Amino acid sequence: CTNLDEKVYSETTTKTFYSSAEEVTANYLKPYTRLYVTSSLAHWICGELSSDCAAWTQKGKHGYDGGKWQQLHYHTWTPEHHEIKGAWNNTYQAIGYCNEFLNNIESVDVSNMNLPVSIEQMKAEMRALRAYHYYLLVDNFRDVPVVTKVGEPRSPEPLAAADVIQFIEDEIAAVINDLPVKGDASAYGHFTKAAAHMLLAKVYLNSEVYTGTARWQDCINEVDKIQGYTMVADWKEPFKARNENCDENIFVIPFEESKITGFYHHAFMMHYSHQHGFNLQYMPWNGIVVQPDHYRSFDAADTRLEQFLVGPQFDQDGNPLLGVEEAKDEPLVLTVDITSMTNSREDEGARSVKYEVVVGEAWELNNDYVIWRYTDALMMKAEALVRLSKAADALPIVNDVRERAFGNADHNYNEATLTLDEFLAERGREFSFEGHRRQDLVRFGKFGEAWWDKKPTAGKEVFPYPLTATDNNPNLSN
Amino acid sequence: QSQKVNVKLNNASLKEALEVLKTQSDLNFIYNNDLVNDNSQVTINATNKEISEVLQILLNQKGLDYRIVDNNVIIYPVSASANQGQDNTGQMAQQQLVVSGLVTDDTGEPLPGVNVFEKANSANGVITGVDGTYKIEVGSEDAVLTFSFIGFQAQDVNVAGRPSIDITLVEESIGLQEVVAVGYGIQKKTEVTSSIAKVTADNFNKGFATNALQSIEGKVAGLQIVRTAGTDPNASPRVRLRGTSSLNATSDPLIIIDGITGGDISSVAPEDIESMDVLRDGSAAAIYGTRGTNGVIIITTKKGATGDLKVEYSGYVSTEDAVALPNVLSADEYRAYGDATGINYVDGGANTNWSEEIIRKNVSHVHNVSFSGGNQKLSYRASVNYRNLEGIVINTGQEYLNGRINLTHKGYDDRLKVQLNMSSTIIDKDYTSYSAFDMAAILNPTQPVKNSDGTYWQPSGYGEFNPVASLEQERRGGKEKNSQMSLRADFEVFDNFTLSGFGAIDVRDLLEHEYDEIGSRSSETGGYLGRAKQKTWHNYKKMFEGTANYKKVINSHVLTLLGGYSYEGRSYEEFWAENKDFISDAQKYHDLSAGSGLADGRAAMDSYKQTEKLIAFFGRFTYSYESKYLFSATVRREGSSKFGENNKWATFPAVSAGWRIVEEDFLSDTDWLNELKLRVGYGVTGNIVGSPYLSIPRMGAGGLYVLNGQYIKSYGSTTNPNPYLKWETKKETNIGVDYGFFNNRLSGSVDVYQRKTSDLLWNLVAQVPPMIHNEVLSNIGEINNQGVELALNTKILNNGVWNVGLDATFSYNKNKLVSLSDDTFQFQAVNYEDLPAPGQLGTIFRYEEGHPIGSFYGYKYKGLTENGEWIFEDFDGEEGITDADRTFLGNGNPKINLSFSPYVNVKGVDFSMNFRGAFGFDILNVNKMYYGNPLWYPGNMLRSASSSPVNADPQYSDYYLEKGDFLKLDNITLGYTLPKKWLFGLDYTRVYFSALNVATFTNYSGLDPELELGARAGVDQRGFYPRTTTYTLGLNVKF
Repeated sequence: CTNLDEKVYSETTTKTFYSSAEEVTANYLKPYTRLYVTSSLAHWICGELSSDCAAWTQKGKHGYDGGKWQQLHYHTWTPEHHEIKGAWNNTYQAIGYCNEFLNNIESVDVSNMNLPVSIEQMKAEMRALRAYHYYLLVDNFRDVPVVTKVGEPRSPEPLAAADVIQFIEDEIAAVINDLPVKGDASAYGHFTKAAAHMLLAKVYLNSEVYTGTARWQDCINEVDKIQGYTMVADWKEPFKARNENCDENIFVIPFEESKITGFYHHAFMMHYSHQHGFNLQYMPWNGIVVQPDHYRSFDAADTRLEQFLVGPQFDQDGNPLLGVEEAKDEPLVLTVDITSMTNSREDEGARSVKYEVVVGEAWELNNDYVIWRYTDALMMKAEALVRLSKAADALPIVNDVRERAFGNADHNYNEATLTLDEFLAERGREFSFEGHRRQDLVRFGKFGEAWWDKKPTAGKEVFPYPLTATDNNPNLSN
Repeated sequence: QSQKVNVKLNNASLKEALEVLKTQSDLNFIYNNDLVNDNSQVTINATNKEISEVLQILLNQKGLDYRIVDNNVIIYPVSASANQGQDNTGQMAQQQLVVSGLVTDDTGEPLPGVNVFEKANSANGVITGVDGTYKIEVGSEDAVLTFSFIGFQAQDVNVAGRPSIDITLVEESIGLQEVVAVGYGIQKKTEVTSSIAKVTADNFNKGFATNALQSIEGKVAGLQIVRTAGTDPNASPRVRLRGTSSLNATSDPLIIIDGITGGDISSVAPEDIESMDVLRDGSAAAIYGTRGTNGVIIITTKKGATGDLKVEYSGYVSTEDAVALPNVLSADEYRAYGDATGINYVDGGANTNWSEEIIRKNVSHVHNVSFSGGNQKLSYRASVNYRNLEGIVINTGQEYLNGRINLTHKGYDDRLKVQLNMSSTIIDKDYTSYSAFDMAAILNPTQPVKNSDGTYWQPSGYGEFNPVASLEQERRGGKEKNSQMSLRADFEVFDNFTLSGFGAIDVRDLLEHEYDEIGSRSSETGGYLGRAKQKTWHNYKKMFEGTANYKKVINSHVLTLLGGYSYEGRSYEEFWAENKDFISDAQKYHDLSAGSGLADGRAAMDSYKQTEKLIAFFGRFTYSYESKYLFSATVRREGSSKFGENNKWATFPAVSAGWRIVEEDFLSDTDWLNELKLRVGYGVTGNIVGSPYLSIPRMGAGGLYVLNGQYIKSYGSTTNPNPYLKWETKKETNIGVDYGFFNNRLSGSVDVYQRKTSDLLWNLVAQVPPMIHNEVLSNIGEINNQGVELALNTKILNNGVWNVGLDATFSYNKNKLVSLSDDTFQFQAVNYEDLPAPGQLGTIFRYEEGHPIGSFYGYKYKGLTENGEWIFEDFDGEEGITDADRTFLGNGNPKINLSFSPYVNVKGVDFSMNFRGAFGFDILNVNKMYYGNPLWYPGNMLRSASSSPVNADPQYSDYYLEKGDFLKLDNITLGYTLPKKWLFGLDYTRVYFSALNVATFTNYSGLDPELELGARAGVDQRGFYPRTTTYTLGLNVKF
């Protein structure tokens, strides 16, 4: 009559889990289900909204949201910033799930289990995915604690960025031969050998920023190891609703309506009335707009301008869409110009629809979110070549990208015109709204400059540790 | 009576003998002083004799007899005696008016032994006989007769020439006989040593109530009962005792209904309640251990009495008037404002008052019929309660049907007593929509409710909808069924030693439904063609308690011991399913399979189950000496399955002591003092974890992910487990005084308390890394509450014709979050509770050490620029207004609560009023913040907005904070009890009229200053239920 043991029904306890191939597989897939939070949300929001590309402006009474978007734009965030906290917590949560699998699987006898992929591949993917998330942490916070066990150690101390990079390199070296390769049945949506090379290439490209030591040639070497991918003919193809089989995409988050959900960038960007324009099954939020200077950085002949909605907006029958707030019942005309970050109207600002929005779309997009694509790898190599004073070798790569965008060679660069500034600008155009902009601006030393409504800032290249992390870990402080 | 006593007295006074019997039994003695206070003496030598036998021996010596009603021994002379005073035949010779009559108590029972004397000549007196009758000769036709009897209010009656006068005496509200529920037992009020407030049915608020707790609103000092949702028939009031003592755990008191803990207040009809005892301080509540911190409300339902079958009916009819609706522009004013300012607006051509469109003239009616009766062995009470509460908002209401049977049977020489209680309730609920009134305030008043084609007009703004269409086309409701059954057996194994067993089942089920019609706004914005959902939950609880009681009397020393074991097991299961895309609205939610959404992967379902156990051992020891020096100690050792394995069990001790100063010899001559008792108590109570399983590592299903072309369910840990999880601990010290002066015309209590809650349950920020999840429910920090409570009952006039008095309560509470830190966690501050869209203007509150719970935190308003733009105080010195410029602005929890209820009863007419007030708090006027701003236009806005100096989008600052102080005339009741001669055999008939929420005196400019308490206190939200004045016509009949 004094037994107080708990009995669970709707869940199971960790003690009894891992008893079948299905349970082991289910836990191995868990960290992947957090990718959209760490990558297409947290990292993307902090990276794009603090850059010269995107902004979540205040439109009339909408869009203030506690000031967090303005703080990102003006670089006036504090350790209490909600999205920065999200970038920390969510990334470490994904790492925690990788650790959970790697820790618990040690004591599980899988020899009699008919696993869908080998246990070595599972462990390799978990360690590589964990390394990827440490790369995101280094990019956002630089010196961060590295933990490989759930719950241990208490109050971990931050490691110097160079040591975290070393950890990433060691981990990838240890597992790369067990990772799946393009063409394997298990490769889609998983961390492949090519993704591992891309991860190292990203690390080396930014090595000077992260550690003080430039490693341009290492970057080139890693890009050269990425096999089986191409720059496809149509720049729109990697972002189509059905982009599963696009040969340009190296690492994607597979999204599938009503199955794998959580991708709704179009809801951030589209106007409320675009619900009627695209017969959407929800009302978008009219949040994120294109900064005027970013829009104007495109040449009028650049077909990549087609990724923006601008001007009068219509429904599928050609009737004008109407405003609902400051432009209530007036025809909706999206302007390139925006009054200011803090004071604009519902119809100010172009909108990015790089990811194809299908008419009649449900709340969730079907398009796979592209974390890395081969054109990025090529442009990274080109940049490394430029930095190694081999611009001539870089030119064909960059001009391939230009020709794809313009449909002709009229806008190609030559050695004189391909300056570093121009290189940064071209990366901005090619990778508009893809979540790389903050990293690029930092690497080119431009993150502190003034743009649009933002004044010059200094020392904001690294986000502060969130207050919640420093509150509860005496070994962490800003 | 089967109680046995030991009495050895030689030549003692009868009064002394009765005192000894009183300390050895739970009986009260009611007698006329003159009968007992003579100089003759009694002798008795009784060992282990039944008290009835002893009484017989004692009283026979004095020519007296007795009768026992409940626990009261009424002593009276064997025969009605006239002229027991001095000889007054001389005066009689002059005036020969003989008055006779019957004296009864308020239940109609004859009262023997009542002293009846002439006021001007107290020597001329008689005592009523065994049948309650008297006969007295008085000096003049204008003589005044006084009827007095211990335990009852004395009455003076002018004879006015009448030869026959029947009198009903009313019991003293603080009578000697009053007993109080103390948890696993009862105690005489005079012997209680902790802070317990009792409210009996006589003192309940009368008239319309959506909930039984409304019956004691304003009746108990320190207990705040707030109608945060007005008269919404499906809403429960917020109940808070002695401030906010928790952050993440519940702040609701433990409600015990006829022994069933955690009872649902909706399972008992107000009309069936006999009394509510509120255990306020730690020393009183500690015997309820992990659930005692927020106080305990013990509800006792009415039981059958011995006697003939009695039938009682009470019922009323009510209707409401909405008295507080947002004062927005009318259609014409809306057009005029647009024309005058040149701001574009759409003129829909109609004149719509949106608020009026969603309210209606409602009629609610409530009926309660009860039957009771029995004999010495078996008594019962059975009742049926029907309530049809029609909300003032269209399609909102509740139909309620409750049946209850209470049965008591005694046997085996009255050594065994069995009590059976059964209650069953069905409730059919139509929920309302609070956001409908927000929409009603802001929609364009020139737009019609319906378009010319008969469809509902719908606005185009983000999140906006037509509230009439919503209430008609997006219906929400539920059917609740709950039943309770309990069986209690008390067996007196040997004298003064009783074993008791109590078992109970409490089952509650709810079946809820939602249906959005095909043409509804939800269907349009959600992208579906109709959506249906059903949800059900099943809550099952079983209880067992075993207790043993022992009592030992050694001369004037009385000791009692209680020991017990308690087991409670609860299981909760939930299931819901939905479907979308219907062809027709005809079947609504009654045929989920009719939709095609499931096949298209657009429907969802879920189920859930949890169980929990609570096991306790408890004991109480009391000691009293001469009923003058009182001591009590309790302890509860309790374990919960919800606690971590390292902290499964907790101990909750309490001690309290009382000193009845009034019994001291040095006060024996002070007739004006009826009660003076000092109480000091200290007790430790707990507050339990809300959800089970938080201490153990769990794996749960997550989203799908792709592998080898298949979509596979993922699994991962769901929380950071905390094996050290335990209860919140509250340590409370209470010092109190009970007082009664001038024949208890002035009585009440004063309590001062200090309560420290430590090991607060708090979703602590977890160390990420190395933990996986952001938070871990932990025990950390401390909150202090301290305060004063006063209760005052006065009887200003009580002369048999006029009965005038005033009851009042006052409480003051001060709250502070002392700490939220420990060795590794250094708490800075947490901002919480986002302001609503549009704009999401940041968080409203902040937790910070050293500040009270519910502190508003934002910009400090400094002024406006010439253009009407905001100027805030710039505290941080950095350019511009930043997060660091925010500061503490105020607090939404009232520091002071008071209530007072004057009443007048005269010649069958009763009139009472109930005032309630709260002071010392601030309100954030969210409505003014959003649509009190001229930039809100062309959304409709408050009339005051058109003259507002503000010309900028709203920002959260103390510009929108207002003083919330208010005094409410909450209830007026006027009743008339018909004279018996009109009743054609009915025992009692009273008709009354009452009005609820009659007037609010406040400087607050918003709708109603009576708002949420606690961590989110004082926010006048955009979504609300309209406050109303309720008018009620009622009838009570007994026969």
